[in-house]
Amino acid sequence: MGKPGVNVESDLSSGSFALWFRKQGKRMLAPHNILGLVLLLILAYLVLAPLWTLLKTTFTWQPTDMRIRGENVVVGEFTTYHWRRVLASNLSKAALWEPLKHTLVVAAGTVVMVVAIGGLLAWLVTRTDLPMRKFISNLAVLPYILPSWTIALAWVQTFQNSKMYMPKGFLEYFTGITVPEWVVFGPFPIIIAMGLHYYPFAFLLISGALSSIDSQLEESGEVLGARRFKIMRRITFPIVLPALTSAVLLAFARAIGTFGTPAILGLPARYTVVSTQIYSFLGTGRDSQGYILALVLMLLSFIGLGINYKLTGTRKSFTTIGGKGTKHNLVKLGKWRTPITVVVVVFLLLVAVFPLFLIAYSSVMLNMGNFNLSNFSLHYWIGESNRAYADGAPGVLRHAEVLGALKNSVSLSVIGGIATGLVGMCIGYVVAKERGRWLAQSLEQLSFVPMLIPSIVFGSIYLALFSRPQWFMPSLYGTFALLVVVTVGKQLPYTARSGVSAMLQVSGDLEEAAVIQGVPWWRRFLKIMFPLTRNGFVAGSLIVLITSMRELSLYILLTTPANRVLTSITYRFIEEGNKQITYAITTLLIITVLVLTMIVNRWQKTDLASGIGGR
Amino acid sequence: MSAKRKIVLEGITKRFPGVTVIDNMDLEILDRDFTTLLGPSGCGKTTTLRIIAGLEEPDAGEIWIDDRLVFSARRGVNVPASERKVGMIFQSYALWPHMTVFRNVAFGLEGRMGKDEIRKRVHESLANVQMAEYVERYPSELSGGQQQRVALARMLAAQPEILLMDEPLSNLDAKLRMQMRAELKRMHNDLDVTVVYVTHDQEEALTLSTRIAVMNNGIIEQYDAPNQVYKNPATLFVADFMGNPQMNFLKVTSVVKAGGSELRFATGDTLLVKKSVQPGSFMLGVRPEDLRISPRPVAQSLRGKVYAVLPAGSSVIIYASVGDQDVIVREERDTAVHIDQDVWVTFDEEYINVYDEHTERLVS
Repeated sequence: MGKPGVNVESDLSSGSFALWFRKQGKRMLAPHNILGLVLLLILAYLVLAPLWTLLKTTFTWQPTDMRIRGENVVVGEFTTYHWRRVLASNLSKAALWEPLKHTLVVAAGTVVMVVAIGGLLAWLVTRTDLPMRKFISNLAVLPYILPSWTIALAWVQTFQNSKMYMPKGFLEYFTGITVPEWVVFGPFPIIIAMGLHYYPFAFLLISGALSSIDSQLEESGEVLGARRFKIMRRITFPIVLPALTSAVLLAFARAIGTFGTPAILGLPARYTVVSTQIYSFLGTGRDSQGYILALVLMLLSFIGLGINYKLTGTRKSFTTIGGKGTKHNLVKLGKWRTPITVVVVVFLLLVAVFPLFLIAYSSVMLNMGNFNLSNFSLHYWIGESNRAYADGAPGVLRHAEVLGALKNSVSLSVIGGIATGLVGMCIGYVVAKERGRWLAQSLEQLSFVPMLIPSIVFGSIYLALFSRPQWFMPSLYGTFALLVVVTVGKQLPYTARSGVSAMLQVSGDLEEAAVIQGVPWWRRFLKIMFPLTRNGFVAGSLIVLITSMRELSLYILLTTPANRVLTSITYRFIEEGNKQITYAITTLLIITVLVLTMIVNRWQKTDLASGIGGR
Repeated sequence: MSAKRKIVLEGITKRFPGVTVIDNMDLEILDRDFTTLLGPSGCGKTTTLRIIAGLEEPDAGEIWIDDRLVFSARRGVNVPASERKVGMIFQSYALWPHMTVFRNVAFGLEGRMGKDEIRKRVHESLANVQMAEYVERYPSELSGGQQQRVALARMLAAQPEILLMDEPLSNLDAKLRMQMRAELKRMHNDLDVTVVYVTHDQEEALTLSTRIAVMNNGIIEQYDAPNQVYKNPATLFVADFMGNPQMNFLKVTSVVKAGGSELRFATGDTLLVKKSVQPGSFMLGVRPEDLRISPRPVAQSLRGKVYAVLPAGSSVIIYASVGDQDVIVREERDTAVHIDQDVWVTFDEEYINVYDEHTERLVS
């Protein structure tokens, strides 16, 4: 059997670095690896380059710094001025420490609300004999689908009152009750509004975990004689913990980076958080200082991630337990069943339906503070320009800028969704083919990074990078393209995830069967891999589409009159104090988002939980 | 004169992180042979097939197809799969679920020939496997056997010279499997092709192959004609792997005697054989069908007691306790033995395989 002529020894010894290198080099020339390297470059450009620019900007003199007195300003030169100014000067308290404290307070309060409401609802829906569970779960996720500041707007419209020299709110008009100012503006309403917007994270993730636990795990505890509470504490809770901490992390990351709600509910009371402070710095030409705050926010979310990893890192395997979805013995609510149902339904109607109704209704009130039907008017929708109302702005359906923004929003969502989906699929393809190798790992990890960068920071990073020509790129500031690029960068974690899981579900055989026959790789990708993973692509794209439609924090720093979207124009009207126009646009936005969501749900059963990306 | 060499593997080594899947393997596959790579799961047989196909790149070694170097780690040669004249059938069939049967067969041909030529080839190869009337169906609308035929047609439409098959019949039910075996054999006879076939089913290997390579832990333990592999397993591993019920192994010590050797069993019984065996300890391997059972004491036998009798239709399988182990005997005819009866197990010298206890290799 021995075969002469082959000396493996020499093969191995000559298999030195040169051979290894040649092999690696050849491997890298495989089409999917070239694609992978291109993607890696794109990701580096979309994620790493902006970070670097941001950091660099904080250490260099900017043209706008020329007005600073008493410093030797040389534009483009290195300086620690901005850091000194933010961290240690008489400005620090107002610029950094106060907003940071506020951000932490607000985020902590939000997280508590998210976990309490989301956890309780999740438990009620998955583990008790609560009636109308399907209806309740659908209603429960509604607040997350709406633009994040919807509740904030409705809150003001409900509680503002004449004592604060404001038009009568819903409450005062119908009951005469006036609430103190801290209820209307400041940390308290911010926490409530954000808590009510983000609790669906916890609800979806925890109910997902609760319903996928194999009930045998709990039953075996029961058989062994453990009490119900002990089972909860020792078995159920640890298993749900990863979902819980993911929800906490997501809510925390979102809460610290959100702009709209704290702007609407905080600024009137001079309550600044880091995100609104960044906006104010960038609006007054103090970019470097704004970027330093952006770095502070990023640091916060990395700390959050670190804690989350410490808590769940070793326990990750729990999330894969079960999956049989076996029937659980539901807790009988007994005589509490009706009262609890009433409370839950009333609560959900208040947080999910009432704000919608109130905002829509307010958009057809000619004068603020008068909820009487005699005050009904479609002026803010279809009225001609009239000096007496809204500074002479015409109704939104006649308003050229609003309609332009609507068009921009729709095209941004569609183009951004498709582009992000495509990049996600390509990443998925490379990751699935190169599973376990460095290229796959770096692609996967790099595409996850934007998840950790708060939206407002992400926007400011792109502002830093693209506001002037860079290398071969022209300045993108104020262009529609910039909005598409920032959308792809920020939303990539979602589509990369769905891309990877879709591609992993396609057996490698299917592509190899074509390799054997000499089908070129682009045909294999287009004709075999892509059609087979189309559902993953559609799901990922649709989630980005809906998210982009109602995203404000990401775009607020990047829009100019030339590339306005519906959300940013809404904020402009909020700033100008044109309430009813704001309500009308928000209604328009909500209708668009709801219609899109319904189309999505009809199209296919997209699991919102997987879209949120907590698992 | 032997046939010409079709595929030659020299010193092929393949490592995955932490494991060496194939260890310095040499293999020559002759033109028009039906060669089966046989072995337990994880022995490296599928990897070998994928390496021949060009789907997997070895870490060392060289591959020739038709005396053309298609792979060499040292010289940096790696001819892509599509230029190796190979066709492949996957265990899962790997039919593209979003394409009709017609498109499945046509897809690989597109861009390589004219539309009419493609149409002709597709219809021919589908007709060959009796699937002509299913052209418009999707794979999910076909039974497992039909999918198998489409996969065959897809492979044959490209007119490869080498057919690589990775456990193609393992997903079919027993009856269909028998039928497909016959068709594969017929196909091998009708077409001018070389087949490399991977299976863990020894019966499939024995019935289909012209040559079998028995693999274990990344090396080829024996590469021989089926009857040789069955009758004279080269190693204890092959002996144990082939055959159902499995081969009997009995420990013996050998003493040189006039006119041959005397083999002494642990029980004290002895057997005088004509072949000369070196003095020392050995393993005796005998197939159950090569043993006979006698109800009366005879010379040259092992004494035992019937432990169980298992009638199996055309034959009877008898477990006999000999010392502290069981000896399995397969009798073709009805044997009137019953449980706990004293019996004598006899040997036919021609069918005895003697293995070195340490190297586990066949001595004689």
